[in-house]
Amino acid sequence: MEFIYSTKNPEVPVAYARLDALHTRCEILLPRCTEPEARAQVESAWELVRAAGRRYNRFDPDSELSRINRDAASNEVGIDEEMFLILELCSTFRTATQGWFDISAHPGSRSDLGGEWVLDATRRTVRFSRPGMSLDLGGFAKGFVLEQLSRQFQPLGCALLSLGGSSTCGIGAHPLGESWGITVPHRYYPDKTARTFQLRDGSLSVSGKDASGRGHIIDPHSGNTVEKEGLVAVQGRSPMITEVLSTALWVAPETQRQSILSSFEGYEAWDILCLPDGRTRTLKI
Amino acid sequence: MSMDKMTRKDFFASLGSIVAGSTALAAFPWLTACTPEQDRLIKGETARLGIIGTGSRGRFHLANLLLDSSAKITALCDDFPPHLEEAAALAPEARCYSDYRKLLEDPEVDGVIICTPLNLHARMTIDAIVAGKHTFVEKAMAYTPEELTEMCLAWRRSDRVLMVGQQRLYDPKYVKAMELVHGGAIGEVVGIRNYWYRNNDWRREVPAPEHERRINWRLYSASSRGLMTELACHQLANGGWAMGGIQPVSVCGNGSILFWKDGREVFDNVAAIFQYPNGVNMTFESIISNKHFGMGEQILGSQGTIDLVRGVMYSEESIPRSGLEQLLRQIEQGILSNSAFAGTSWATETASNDKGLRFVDHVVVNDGASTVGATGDGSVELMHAFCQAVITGAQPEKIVEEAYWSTLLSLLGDRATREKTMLEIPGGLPW
Repeated sequence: MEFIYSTKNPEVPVAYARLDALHTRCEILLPRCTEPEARAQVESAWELVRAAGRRYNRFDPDSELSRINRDAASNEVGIDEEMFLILELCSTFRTATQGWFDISAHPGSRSDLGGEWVLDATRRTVRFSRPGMSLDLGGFAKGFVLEQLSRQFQPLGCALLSLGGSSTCGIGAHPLGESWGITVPHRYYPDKTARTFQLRDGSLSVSGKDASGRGHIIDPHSGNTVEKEGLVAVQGRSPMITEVLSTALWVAPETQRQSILSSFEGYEAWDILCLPDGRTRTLKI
Repeated sequence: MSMDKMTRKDFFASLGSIVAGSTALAAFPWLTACTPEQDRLIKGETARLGIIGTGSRGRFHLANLLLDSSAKITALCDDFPPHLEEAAALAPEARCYSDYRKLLEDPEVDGVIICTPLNLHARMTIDAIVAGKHTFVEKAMAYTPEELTEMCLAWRRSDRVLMVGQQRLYDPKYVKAMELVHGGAIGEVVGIRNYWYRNNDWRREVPAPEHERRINWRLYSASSRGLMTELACHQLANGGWAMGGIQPVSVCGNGSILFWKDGREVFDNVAAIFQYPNGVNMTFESIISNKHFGMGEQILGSQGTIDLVRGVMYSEESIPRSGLEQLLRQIEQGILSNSAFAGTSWATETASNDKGLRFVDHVVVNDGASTVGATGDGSVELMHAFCQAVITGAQPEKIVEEAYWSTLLSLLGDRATREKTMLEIPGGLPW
């Protein structure tokens, strides 16, 4: 964990904070705040991030998600309001993305075999429709947490929030400019720019293979990791939706991308392919 | 810039956004006149200009001026008819002269732009000032230190504008860089490196052998001081800016004709070291038979390095740096830039592969290969500033002083390389 408060530029005092959580680097840049205010905001943010890490970590046997994965195939599992909301949202997003965003996808799983997480709003419970199912919130938690953080920082009017670089949310604009300029570097030539996005009260999510070149997103239809080249970037208001959409559009076949995107008004997406010769092919989806 | 007529707003949009409120303006006082407000004051007025010397550089300026609504080309002069005809084709309304003294008598010329061989600069500049013309002369100012002094004194005796073709004076990224240096961003300045590498013979095509010395005047010692006055002259101003106006006290150097043994008389490779009173060295090296490193200008500090050509600052600190941390450092320095950090996952960067902070956006990196002029190098802004000065009659502050030092350092650097000795550099201005 790191906290820096700088007044080197007296016109724009700025706080920077970093926390390694949610299996990534979480960062906050907070300009034009007093130091006590920045510290209080950051502490509150990290409390939220740590709680999310505990709750949504499927590898922690004591997490709420592990309890669901362990018991929901045989019993209805009672869950709290937030988990119910998350599972409800994930269900909605699965439908809206034509099944390409799916928290029940895991290596070896196949959506054509069926499998639902069945929610009961009256009793606030969840139950799996078949044995062998499990849920992974890794692809959703970052967007959900960033959504909560963006609401926390919104009243301050100016902040930049990043979870691992793949999910970024700009509150207001850069203190010296009209927007936050976010550059996606070229995969093979990091000094070169693949594409720059301007965020003003908006979010950007990027999905693709990780920096080491390994695929880590599961195709819900085949149960295999997606190994294709390139990445998908989605820009829009809500960090939760950009996160969901970038994952779904990365996994979905090209023929279905447009119809998936059309269900989400106000969101734009690009297919970015960095070539070994230094060029970049960018296609607006 | 498109082929459309440039507006004055276009000219200073980039400059203004960087320069506005910059603490470095004290080191760049000539820019204080380059404001949109100043342009509004002279709106509708035009500078009537004559160009003396319509070779490659003269036509480069001509092409830029034809896009500037504050310029009107009324006269052209060259004693080499093919060059004059090429220029006249671009500006058919301009009167043409083969003798510059006739052009200086033209009452419809308010200002002249002198783009002739170096050995002609002093005579033509002094004649132009005496004739009552505002004068722009290409760099380097003069062929000898004595001529340099004479030019400056002639200008001081007059009420005319004198400007010199050092386009870096109007390149916004240098202003921003010096603001960082003076603000302590790279700590104490411990060195200044300049280099300019090309791999070409520096020749222009000659239509007939008798025109060789006229066309390829840069290669002959009667008309040129070679790489020091043609290339180093641009870069040596960096030292004075970085050192807060202090100039070097000595220079030593070396040079030779190493590769292009084609009858030329000036060196095709030179290296010179200028030393400041506090012991800091500024180097200049040029080789024109290898272009791998292109053009470079670097201010080395105890805590960081500024790459002037690329507009990037590097830190000496060996700390991992993410995109948001880079943004923190940029905001601390008052820099607005796009931050490279979005990607599919985060990876640590270390100082050894530090990509640095880009302190200006949209930098046009000039590799120094062009022997005429490069896009985005300040040439357009410089010409517009001259038009502005011709219209207002106001001399941009300190600009002759800048040119004086750059020319003196390049002339003494040339002498040091030819004599293979160390020379003392006289302090103070001759006026």
